[in-house]
Amino acid sequence: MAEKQYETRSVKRLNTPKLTGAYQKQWFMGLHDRIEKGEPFAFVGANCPMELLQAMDIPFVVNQWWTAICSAKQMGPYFYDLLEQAGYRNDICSYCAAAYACSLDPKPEEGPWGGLPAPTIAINGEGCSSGIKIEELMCESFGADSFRIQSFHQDIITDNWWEYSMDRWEELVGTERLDFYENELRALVDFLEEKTGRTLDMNKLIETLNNVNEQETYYRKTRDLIAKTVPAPVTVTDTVNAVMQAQWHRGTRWAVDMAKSLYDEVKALADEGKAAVPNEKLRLLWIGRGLWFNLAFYQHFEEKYGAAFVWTMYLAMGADSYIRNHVEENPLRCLAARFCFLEDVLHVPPFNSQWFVKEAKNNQIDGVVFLVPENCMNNGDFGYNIIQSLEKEGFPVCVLRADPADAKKWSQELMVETVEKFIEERVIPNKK
Amino acid sequence: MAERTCALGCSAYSALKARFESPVAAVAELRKNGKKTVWMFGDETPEELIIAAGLQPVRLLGYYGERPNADKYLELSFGALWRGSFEAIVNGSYDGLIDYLVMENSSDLIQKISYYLEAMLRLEEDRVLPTMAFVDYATATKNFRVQQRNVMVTEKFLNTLRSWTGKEISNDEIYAAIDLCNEHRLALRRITALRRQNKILGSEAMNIIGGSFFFEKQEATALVNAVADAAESWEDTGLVTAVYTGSAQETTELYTLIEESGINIIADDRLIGDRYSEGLVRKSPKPTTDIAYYYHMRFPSSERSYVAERAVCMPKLIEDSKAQSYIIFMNHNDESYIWDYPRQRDVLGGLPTLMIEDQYYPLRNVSELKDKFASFAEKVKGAN
Ligand code: SF4
Repeated sequence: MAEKQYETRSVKRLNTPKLTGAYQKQWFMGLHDRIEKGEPFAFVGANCPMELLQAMDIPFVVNQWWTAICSAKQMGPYFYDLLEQAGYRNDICSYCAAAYACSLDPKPEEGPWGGLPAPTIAINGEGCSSGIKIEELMCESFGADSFRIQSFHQDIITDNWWEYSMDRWEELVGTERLDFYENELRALVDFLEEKTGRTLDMNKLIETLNNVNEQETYYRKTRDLIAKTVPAPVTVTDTVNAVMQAQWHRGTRWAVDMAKSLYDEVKALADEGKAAVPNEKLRLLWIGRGLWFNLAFYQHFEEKYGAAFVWTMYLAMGADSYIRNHVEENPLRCLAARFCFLEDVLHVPPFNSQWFVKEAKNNQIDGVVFLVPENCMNNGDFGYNIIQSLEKEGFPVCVLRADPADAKKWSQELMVETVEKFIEERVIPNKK
Repeated sequence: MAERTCALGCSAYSALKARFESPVAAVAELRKNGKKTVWMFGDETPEELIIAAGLQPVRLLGYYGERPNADKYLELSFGALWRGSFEAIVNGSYDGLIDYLVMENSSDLIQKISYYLEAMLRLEEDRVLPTMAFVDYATATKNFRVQQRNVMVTEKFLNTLRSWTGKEISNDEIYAAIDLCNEHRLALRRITALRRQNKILGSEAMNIIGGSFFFEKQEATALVNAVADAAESWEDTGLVTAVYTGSAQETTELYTLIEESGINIIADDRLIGDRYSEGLVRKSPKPTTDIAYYYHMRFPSSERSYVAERAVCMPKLIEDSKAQSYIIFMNHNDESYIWDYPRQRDVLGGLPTLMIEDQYYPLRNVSELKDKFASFAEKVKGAN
């Protein structure tokens, strides 16, 4: 494990993340028991319709979130070295390869929370050239049956997608594309039923989807509250874990309760006029994957500059891109409209750039830090356009190039220096 | 190895080479046939339909010169190949020569470029680009569900071509185009066979195959057959032999460098190589199904295939070609091959293999690369 010369754990200000963290750990321990008793266990990509699994009571772990856990537990360097020992490289695809690396671990039980159990099934999207191979290798290594959801090009480009996503999603995604994804979901249901012996109950799916809508509505309220409250009652370090962990269980009542709990806590702080950064002078927006192995990084700039990171995609995606109303009319289609558009929001221009600009305005942002993953060969969000769009609207942007999952490759000194320089040379002068 | 006089003395070879080396001039020449041109960006673009529509397919080759637009608009994750393609599309060198641009899903990065171009059109008032379409084939997973999707995609593309040309495209026209393309593939397979006899250099094969993309099909087929006739009597290159995989090459620079180091690439899995002529499109009552099936099922490219599949087909390619070695050459950020290789290594036993990563355009450290290839050639000789 890499030696740390700096603090990586953020200071916890809220109770909800403690609750979600404890539950997650407990759930994971219980997962080992369930699998031992012969239950199926799925390993899925973050862009998969996990609501189906929830509705069928099939426990699952999300690939990228598992990476985040490994990363937060500072185990990334250990796992990536296992890849190198197996003849691969330890400096590439860290965000997607952690689970495969775990499958090569001679001591899997020493992994986070007792280690990743061997999945019996895996569901993935049609990812990049490396992604499909890594998933294949992982499935083979664990002995999991795999289902691959095909992707379908988004032909329709609509301005201000968030005005459509809740109710006018058929217009947003397009009928042809929705037909396609609805069929993919039907094929996935067949696969799940065949592999697990369980049957999808449509009423249970409706209940799950309605729970998701309720949960995400709390995120919407929380996001809006943070956006309008200056100084902000919380920063991203307070919310990311609470949101990520509950999103993992989205569709359950527990997840709704946690989303509500988060909102209630943030609201209470706002009502009391309590600020996460009492001397808040600057509000920053973080674009990109979370820095799970070093959440303290976000807090580093609070004391020196009164700079608060108030925005990441984790809460804001919940707020804007998950809610799909009209569940009862056709639950599978409704689910298709959600999951197929999640990636588009982040990666397809101008969906992403327009959204970041809208969020920067609403959240009263002074500067943007944009993390570009260095070792992802498939990174491509038209970053040029994101930067230009934000700068044009008066939001200075700082680009950080780093590996978001592997602590060993992180240069704290360089990154802190880069952001400090950015704050001093661009954000503060721009604010005056 | 310098280009051989036997090749240069063949007028058909020289004609093909000239077009491959100067694609802009080649497209200008092609346009004289009066047909509108369709740029094909992506390995699995169904050119049969483009020909059936009465349009002229033109293979998009990257721009090999300064690439300021790529540097401006693309992330570093786009490797050298994609940067060249993007530069060629936006830098104006083909202005007035291309009417349509068809992008195809043989890499996620093409899909991303298609989104970027659409966004540029929306955001930049004075941006001019050809009319665009996206052919959204899925080729990695070989099952009926995906096959059905590919049929749907083929029909959708056919409808796009109908809307572009304002004309019906009959099955007979599609069959005729399939015949033209199949005949062309058969001619190119003669080149494949001669390569494997070590009579044609890899760089010469690139000139022949790449050049043939810039002629009308019938003329291209005649030229390729003429080269094949001549090459029957060309001498053995005398070089040790290798199969190539890795980043696609669009100029002969790398193959020539490898040849100068004593190795001839006698087979590869790239489009300007063996892959283009692999298989034939069959003809059934529903040609869109045949076309979809062909592009779905042809030799799996590393970008859109699984490790297990490549661990069978690459060793088979090596065995069939009787190559003495294997070269994997990767551009920086075009390195998905690293996930394939350990499994292939297990299958290949002790076959001499050279894996080179992290390369850029223009090639850096050419002399260092040459040394690597030369010492590898010695190793191959020693092993044989
Ligand atoms: S290239 Fe990027 S998206 Fe693809 S597997 Fe690697 S890290 Fe994941």
